Amino acid sequence: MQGDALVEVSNLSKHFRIRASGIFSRAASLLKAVDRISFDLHRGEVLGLVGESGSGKTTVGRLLSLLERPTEGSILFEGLDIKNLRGSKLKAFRRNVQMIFQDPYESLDPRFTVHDAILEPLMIHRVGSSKWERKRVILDALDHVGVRPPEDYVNRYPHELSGGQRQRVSIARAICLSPKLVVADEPVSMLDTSVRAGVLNLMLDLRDEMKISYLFVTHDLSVARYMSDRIIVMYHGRIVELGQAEEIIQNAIHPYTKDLLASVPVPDPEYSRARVRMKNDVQVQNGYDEGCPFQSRCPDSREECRSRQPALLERASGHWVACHI
Amino acid sequence: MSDRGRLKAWIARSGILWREYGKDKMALFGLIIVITALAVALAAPVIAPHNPWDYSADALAPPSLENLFGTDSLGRDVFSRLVWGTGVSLTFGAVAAGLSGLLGIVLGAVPAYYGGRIDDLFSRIFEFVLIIPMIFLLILVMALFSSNIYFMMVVVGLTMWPWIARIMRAQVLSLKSKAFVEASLVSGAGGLRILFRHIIPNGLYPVVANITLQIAFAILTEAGLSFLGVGDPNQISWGQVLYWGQLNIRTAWWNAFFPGLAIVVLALGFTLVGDGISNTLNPRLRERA
Amino acid sequence: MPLLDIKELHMRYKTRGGWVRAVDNVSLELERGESLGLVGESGCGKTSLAFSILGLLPPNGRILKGSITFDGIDLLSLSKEEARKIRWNRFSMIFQGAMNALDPVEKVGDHLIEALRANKNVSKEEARSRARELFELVGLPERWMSSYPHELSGGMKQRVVIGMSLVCNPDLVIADEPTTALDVIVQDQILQELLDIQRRLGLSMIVVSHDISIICETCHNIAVMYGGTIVESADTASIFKNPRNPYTIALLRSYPSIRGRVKRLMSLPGAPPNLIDPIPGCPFAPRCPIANRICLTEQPPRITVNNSHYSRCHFALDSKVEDIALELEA
Repeated sequence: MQGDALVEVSNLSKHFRIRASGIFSRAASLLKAVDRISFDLHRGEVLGLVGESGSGKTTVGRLLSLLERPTEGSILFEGLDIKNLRGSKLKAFRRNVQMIFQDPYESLDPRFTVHDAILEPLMIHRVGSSKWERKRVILDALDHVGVRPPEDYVNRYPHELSGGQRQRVSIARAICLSPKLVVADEPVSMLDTSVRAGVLNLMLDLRDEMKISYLFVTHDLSVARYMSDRIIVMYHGRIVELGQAEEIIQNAIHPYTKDLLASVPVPDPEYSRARVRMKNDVQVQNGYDEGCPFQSRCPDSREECRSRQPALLERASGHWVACHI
Repeated sequence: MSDRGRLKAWIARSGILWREYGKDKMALFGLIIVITALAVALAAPVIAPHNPWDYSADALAPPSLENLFGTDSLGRDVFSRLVWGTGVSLTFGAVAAGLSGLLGIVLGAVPAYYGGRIDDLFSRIFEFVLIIPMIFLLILVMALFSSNIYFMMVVVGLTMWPWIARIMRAQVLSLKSKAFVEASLVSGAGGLRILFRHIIPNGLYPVVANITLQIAFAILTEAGLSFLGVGDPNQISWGQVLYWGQLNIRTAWWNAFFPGLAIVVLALGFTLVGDGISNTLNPRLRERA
Repeated sequence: MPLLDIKELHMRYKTRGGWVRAVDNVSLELERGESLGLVGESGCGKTSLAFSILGLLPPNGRILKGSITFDGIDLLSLSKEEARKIRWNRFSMIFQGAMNALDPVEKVGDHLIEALRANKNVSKEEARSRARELFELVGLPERWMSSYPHELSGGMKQRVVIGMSLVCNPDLVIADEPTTALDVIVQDQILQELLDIQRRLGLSMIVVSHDISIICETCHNIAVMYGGTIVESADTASIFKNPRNPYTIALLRSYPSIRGRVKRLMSLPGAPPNLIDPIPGCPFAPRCPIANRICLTEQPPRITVNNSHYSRCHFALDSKVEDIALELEA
């Protein structure tokens, strides 16, 4: 389900200055967590952002929700550049983009009841004209996310809730302002398996009912496939592949994507997987400024892979790949 | 309905905390000492058998039924003086540690939250103040300016706050990056709301424990300063009672023993309470559903 | 004779709230050279079961009944000292998150050398050469022996941990969530490595995990746990082709898959069971889609589906069980 672009990202980069690891070394080196990426997020879609740790996917999520400011490039939200928002404009923007975090134990202030946790965004944005009206909004939100009966849970503290319930409360907090975009950073990876399905289905239902768009950040391709309309695959801060979810799963082109797919364990004893072809983590060096970031692990890398960075080009309709091969 | 529900929830939480605290025998003992001291201070007019300012001819008399702890060199009843001095010592501890706590919390939390060069500047300030040898500074200040006890309380408080500030700063730095803080940020909360509603309340536990320890420290400092003669002669503090007793320590031991004992016991009491608070709240941090 | 034979094991923890029945009437067998996967969610008792086998229970843990027979010897009937000797020499465990517990000020090669010398009386030279062998076995180039843990990637650290677990030439290795903190590609490499090592050395292995897909790839047999008890156990193929327990089916259907059509995932209502005050019947009954009154009142017996395929469910052989499976295929 595609509409016009809700978010347009152009040439986005985020660099972190880190101190070198030697005791006596004073030189700081630059970590390019996100390196010149561009993509659109359409209204009403679930855009899956897939990558391993160090790929930059979490940073992209944090950039879109303005927990971090871009070092370079621009992020347009409904046409407005959010890079330098401050003050009241920033506050107005925050109504539109919310975030769900990975750790259900850390996402809620342990000293706030469920009621107070959801009340906070309402108070900040002055939603509801009386205490009773806000209470109504809170109870409705809890019911909506499956915490039932809401009256039983409203005065509980986070430590009295299970992981799945906490995550639902976090979702309730995120949607009570009716945001347009929700950035979900590995929202189910710390939950038990039988609970995950419930939360994932809830997120999909909310998308259908409230027309929320999602940036779904995850390292789990199976979950990404289940949730996403389109998928972006990231490696070392760059986008290596982008396209419709099914297209990428069935017809992956970039060698990294193919290896990611090949390494997903499948719970079927008779299915034999394609072998992962990339070089072992033991034999690898990291961080190249020239050429493709995947060159040291790519089984097919050529001369030009070492010298020229591959651009993101459209290989098939809506299917973009950054690879020389 | 919501308010009643929240009150019940809050009471339930506090109840658990008290029960946990009660399991630590030493902490309970400390609490008993502190409460007893408070009771004595409040009931001073009733308990003290003599007027603490009354001179009498019976100087340096040993403990007896008439004077439970004997008399000092001016014939004043040591027991009554100690009873009346309880309030003074407690007030001293509370004001000095209270001031230190307030300054320490605010000056520790705010620069740490905003970070950058302000944070560096304040860290240097903390270190600078902590390096100064406090006792000498206090003697100097008291001797040069005023020996008024209220002045003393404030000055002692001003020397203690960086200790609290550093602890608060460490807490803020670690809480700053917690998911619930970022969640509030994303909801649109401003720095002040986050600091005063989320970060400081969650970081208070070691700070409160240390403030309690500082009460003990302030009481000991007052005793020390008065003993050295720079205290406030117009007040009856335990330190003053000690001061009046120092000349005759060898002959009239009760002049120094009882006030010394009282000081040690009260300081111990607050120390145990401070430790108890810190122990109670630590395992609780492990609490998970 | 199976290498490990557990019969009707009951283990509990004493807590402030009462006795937690962590392991409730568990029986299982492990043959020499085979691998068994223990699958279940948090709180199902799989880690408690592993600790019971290894004798690593905390002070408030107690084994009430049952037997753990290893190579013909009942470990629970031995004295503490004798049991310890057997476990020390013949068992080994890869703990969850062990890769993050490596000593940061000790070189990784030394980790193995120390472990070797603690276990057997060997000279430094012998220990060093054996450490080299182990490094090679787990696929780490020898030059990494003089590196510190922080210089290694996650996958490499896990290889070191696996190497450490093989130091005493164990007969039985228990791996608790061996790949949880690892990236997907590294996870795959480590699993392949484990499989390879197991085949080469003829190790018997128990893999504990909440992730049924990796268990499927590495284990010959699977035991699914819920509420402290084993609800179904069989060889891997049978569990997937013919699951006979509603919880197993729910678990299988709650994983999104990379292949096949995208199906709506099955989500279970409710929460994991209270192990302090369990209901008299089947622990899964409150959440089970086909539960009946008997499920709430009577503990289901261990029903044999066919040779070595067991299921604890009143309806294990009933068509009702097949129906849930089919319903979710639609």
